[in-house]
Amino acid sequence: MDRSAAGPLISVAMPTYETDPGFLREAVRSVLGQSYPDWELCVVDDGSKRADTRRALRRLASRDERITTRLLDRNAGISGATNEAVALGRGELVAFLDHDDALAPDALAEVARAFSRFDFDVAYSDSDKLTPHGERADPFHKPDWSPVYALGAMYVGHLLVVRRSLLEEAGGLDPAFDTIQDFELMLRLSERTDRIHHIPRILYHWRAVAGSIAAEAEAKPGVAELQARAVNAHLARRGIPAEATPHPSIPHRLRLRPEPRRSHPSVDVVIPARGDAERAFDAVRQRTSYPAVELFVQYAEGSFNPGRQANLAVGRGDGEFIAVLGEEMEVGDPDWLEQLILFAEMPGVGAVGPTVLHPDGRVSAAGVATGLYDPAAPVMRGFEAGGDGYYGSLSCAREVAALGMVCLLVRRSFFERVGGFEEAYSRQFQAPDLCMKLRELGMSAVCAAAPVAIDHTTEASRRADFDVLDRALFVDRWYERLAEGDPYYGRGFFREAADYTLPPFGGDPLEIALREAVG
Amino acid sequence: MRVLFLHFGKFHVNSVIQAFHFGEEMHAQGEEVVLCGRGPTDRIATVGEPSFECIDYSDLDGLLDRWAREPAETMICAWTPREIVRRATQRVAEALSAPYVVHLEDNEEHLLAAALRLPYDEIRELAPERLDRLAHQELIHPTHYPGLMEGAAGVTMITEELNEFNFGRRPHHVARPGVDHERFRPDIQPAVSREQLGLDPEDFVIVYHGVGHFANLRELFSLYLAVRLLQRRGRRVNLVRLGSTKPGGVDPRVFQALRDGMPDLGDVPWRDVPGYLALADAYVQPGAPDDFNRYRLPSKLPEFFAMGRPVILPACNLGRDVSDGENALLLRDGRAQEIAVRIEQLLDDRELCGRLGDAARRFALERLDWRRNADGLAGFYRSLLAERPQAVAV
Repeated sequence: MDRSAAGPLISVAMPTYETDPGFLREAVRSVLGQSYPDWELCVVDDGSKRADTRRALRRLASRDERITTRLLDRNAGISGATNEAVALGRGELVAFLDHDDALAPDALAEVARAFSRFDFDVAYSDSDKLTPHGERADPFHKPDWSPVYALGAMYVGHLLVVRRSLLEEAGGLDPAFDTIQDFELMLRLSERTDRIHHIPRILYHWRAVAGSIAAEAEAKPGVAELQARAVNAHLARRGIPAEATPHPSIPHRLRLRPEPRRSHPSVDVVIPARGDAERAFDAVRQRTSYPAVELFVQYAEGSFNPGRQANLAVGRGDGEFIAVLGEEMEVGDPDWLEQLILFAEMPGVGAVGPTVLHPDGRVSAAGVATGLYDPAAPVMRGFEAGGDGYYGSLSCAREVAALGMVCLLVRRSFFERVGGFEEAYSRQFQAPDLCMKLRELGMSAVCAAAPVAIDHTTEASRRADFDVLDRALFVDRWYERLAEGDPYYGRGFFREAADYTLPPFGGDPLEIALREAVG
Repeated sequence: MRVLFLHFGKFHVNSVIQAFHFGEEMHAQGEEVVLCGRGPTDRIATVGEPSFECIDYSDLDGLLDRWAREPAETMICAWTPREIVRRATQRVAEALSAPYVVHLEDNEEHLLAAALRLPYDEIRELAPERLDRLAHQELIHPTHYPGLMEGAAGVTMITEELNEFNFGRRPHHVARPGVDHERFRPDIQPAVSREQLGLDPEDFVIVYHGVGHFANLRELFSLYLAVRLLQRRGRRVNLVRLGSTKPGGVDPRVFQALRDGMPDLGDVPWRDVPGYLALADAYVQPGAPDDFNRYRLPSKLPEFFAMGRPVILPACNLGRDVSDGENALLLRDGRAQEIAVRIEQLLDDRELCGRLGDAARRFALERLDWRRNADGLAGFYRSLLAERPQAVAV
């Protein structure tokens, strides 16, 4: 970082309360050690009774002129204290730091760099945890801004940085949501801006001490209820007809259910078939509660090409939505279409698919991850259904890079705008290709956690359909996008299989890339 | 005038071919020329028999001692600002008190970004110690190379677009490559028969020669795929490849699957290349008019044109000097589907093939001449030496 170049002043807002002086010193040391110089640390103590805490706080200001402290006489709650800390500063950006956590040495430099490049309103980074022994563990490689995922999981967390003007406009943190105040703030901020930037580097170390959420997900009772209250208020403000309720078995996860509909946009269910398509056809006819459905089975004229056949079928109908279904698919829940349409009607969503299971109950695909070396990998294939996945990736609806052809819902107008399925593929990659085209128009794909659908395609049939030219064509058409990495499957993972495995090697990724390129 | 070419590469790489020809032409005009490169100097024989001196970097001190004893007006040509060249240039310029010119033939910033898979702006912002750790002799050092550019007496470049990197706004000259019109001509007999390569006499054959590496493998991938897509549609087309392939940037398994069944002759001495090019019905230089291709002029392109067959190339660099459909076919996005469409245009119109081939040869004769281009380069050097008092030495 060029220290002579003027970057934004970053106010680091830190509330303290009965803080262990040792942890406090570590937190402050992590700020003092920043490679970026233009920061101010604004500490507000929330009426601590511990004498050693108050003593440590009084000494702080003398350590560096960029540190300001204020000790409140009485407890204002974490939101109140944090808002006071924000008010102490004048930085263009506000970064939130908890009293026992730590910033990575180049955290603020990365923030300043991202701010100069992307001019964001809100930014967040990846994070990990500090064990009681001071070791780093549990890296959380987050997706890029995922508003649907945020409805089910409080994934943004730290490091959170907000443009001060936006923070003030939003009214700061709401004390009614103490415990999940930063999550609730994030929901309100997202109603005011979409310039939300993810910095895919671990810039924040979250201390896992006994009694904290970092150490035990259920440490603080009532969190999921508070989380649901925040999300429901957010849904109401956005006019989304759905209700969030705590997940029955997984802490801090919400499920989203559509409210009963007054009107039903028409849906064309399209089944490209090479056999009799009986399974998919019967399941849709017998189990679909949605009233405005027309079914189209499109048989192959010549060789089987699901994309071409789907395009033909779409041309025969006029439904507002198109649901493409593999002939070996079996929809499970009667309200599968209501659930998919809920997401398809959200702003910015281009395509929606369910979590697809094998007949034995294991996951076949919870969305598709994209990359250069395995260009369209089914996410979490083989995982047990009903689990949480990676930080809610299986239990919550979330944005994904792409979806498979086996079940995908898209608005007809979007489908036509991108020219439907690309027919140059012979059998595969048409659906991921469609999702990539939608993404070019700024629209995301969503994998809904519920409903689920069962794919009876056998492994042998899947292997027989594999076509290396289709794979190469997908890479060729989307090379630059694939090279950027999957925005929704964290970039920190090994991409041999989309199962959230961390890479087996360490070292500087740039050195690894250089070695590969020029030896 | 003495001319010292400090080249980044080994003596058999494509880029040396240009330095070799400029050296030959200048030597023929009475200049004293030395070409310094990496590794065994006898490998220049794959390009040709030089009439000038070739040395390895380890012989540079000996050359400097000799020239110190026999001073003469000298121009140093830093063939790219890559680290190995930058270091040597600054050392030689200081030792001889001689001016230097930097020759640009690529968007070096793009090459570094492609090697590190990180945008150049972000690379530049890395901590200095990390940048030093990542420094590689075959690539630029983002901190040091601007200084080399600014300290040059002049800058030469293969294409005008590269003047963007002439940070010191020094005098500049576009030094286009040429082609040996006698060695590369339409009526050469093929070095091998199609039958020997397993090709069907009816096949429409594309020949591509050149090393595949991290910066261009993605483009080669598109070319192979284009041929495969045409084959899947039942079109009789095949690709003959010369040159080695270094992995990088594309999935090696998929890339290998695309190559399977297509004749691959590996490394072939450059002097033998015309015989293999003679196998072709057409040539394709794959690629998009992007930050890589806009700033380069692959040395094989003049050879393609001189062979008098249709040439398909990106709509940039040399592609800007031709007319689409008149003396070449141009690629706008360079992806496999577009390449396939362009090849299919040729497959379906043999008359177009003949017309494009004749026009390509005419273009080479008119525009790609070593003698004329070398004279221009030498003249530029002389003009800088004449202005010597204004030249800035590092």
